[in-house]
Amino acid sequence: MPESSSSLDPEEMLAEARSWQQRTRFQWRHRGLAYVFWLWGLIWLVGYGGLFLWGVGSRAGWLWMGLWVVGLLGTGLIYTRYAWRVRPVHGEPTRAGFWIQAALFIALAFIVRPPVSPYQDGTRVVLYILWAYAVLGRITHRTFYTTWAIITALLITAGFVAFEERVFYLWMAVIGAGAWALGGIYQRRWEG
Amino acid sequence: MALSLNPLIHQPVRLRIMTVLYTLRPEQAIEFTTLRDMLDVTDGNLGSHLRKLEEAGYLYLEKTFVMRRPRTYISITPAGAQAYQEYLAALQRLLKPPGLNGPTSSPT
Repeated sequence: MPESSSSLDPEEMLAEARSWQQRTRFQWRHRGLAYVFWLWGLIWLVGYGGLFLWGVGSRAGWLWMGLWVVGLLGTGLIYTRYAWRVRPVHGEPTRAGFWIQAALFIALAFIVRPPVSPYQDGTRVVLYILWAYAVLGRITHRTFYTTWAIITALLITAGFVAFEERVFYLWMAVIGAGAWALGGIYQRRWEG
Repeated sequence: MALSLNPLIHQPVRLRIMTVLYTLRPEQAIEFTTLRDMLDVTDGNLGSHLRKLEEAGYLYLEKTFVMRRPRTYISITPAGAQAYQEYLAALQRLLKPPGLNGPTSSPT
């Protein structure tokens, strides 16, 4: 079928291109990731909020176990729903960026090592998980992973260095969860 | 005035296809059914437009399996990205001829 290009208004075509650029950018590129961020923001809010209210004990332990299950299952479900739809063509990590991140996280792990109390130990575990997120971000070229993993790691370190245990939990519940939530909002900021 | 717009891209559905893939960047590939749902077109319609763009070397189609299900991933090639950029530039030139607000004005 022959197609006429002269019948299409250039102004409309340009507007169409701009509209679809915006739609693509904010509907698909990071859509699933926003939900993951919000989920983990909620988990941190409830989990660390629980530690702040009740302190470290069996009740908080059970709460965290439940939250981890919810978090892992939720993350899996979100990625089953979204991740396969858009995928990287080349999954090669950027080497320089990777090693900078590795050095940063190793340094953070040393900072939070001594003296080791149960909550400080817990902080280290969170740091390692965030490192895994950062590596994943490098591999999948999803730079927001990297950005927010670093921000969150810095928040943890700030909370760890600056405060006593109970205030640290409150810090994590509000600032840490807030960082995740803002990360999610940032990625969907122009979506209608 | 002679219209110098790339006729392969200057078609609504193909423009949307190219825009989506260009916006996702060359290192990202989108799955066929996702693109179909996004553009609200039929399988056949999307397939025919993709074929034209693939034949021109603008797109790369990869057939693979995800959890034993066949999936087709579509990404833009460097030639496609360049053609898209040139198309947009040509559109802008058409809408804003250089003589109207050209770089000839001198600062006072």
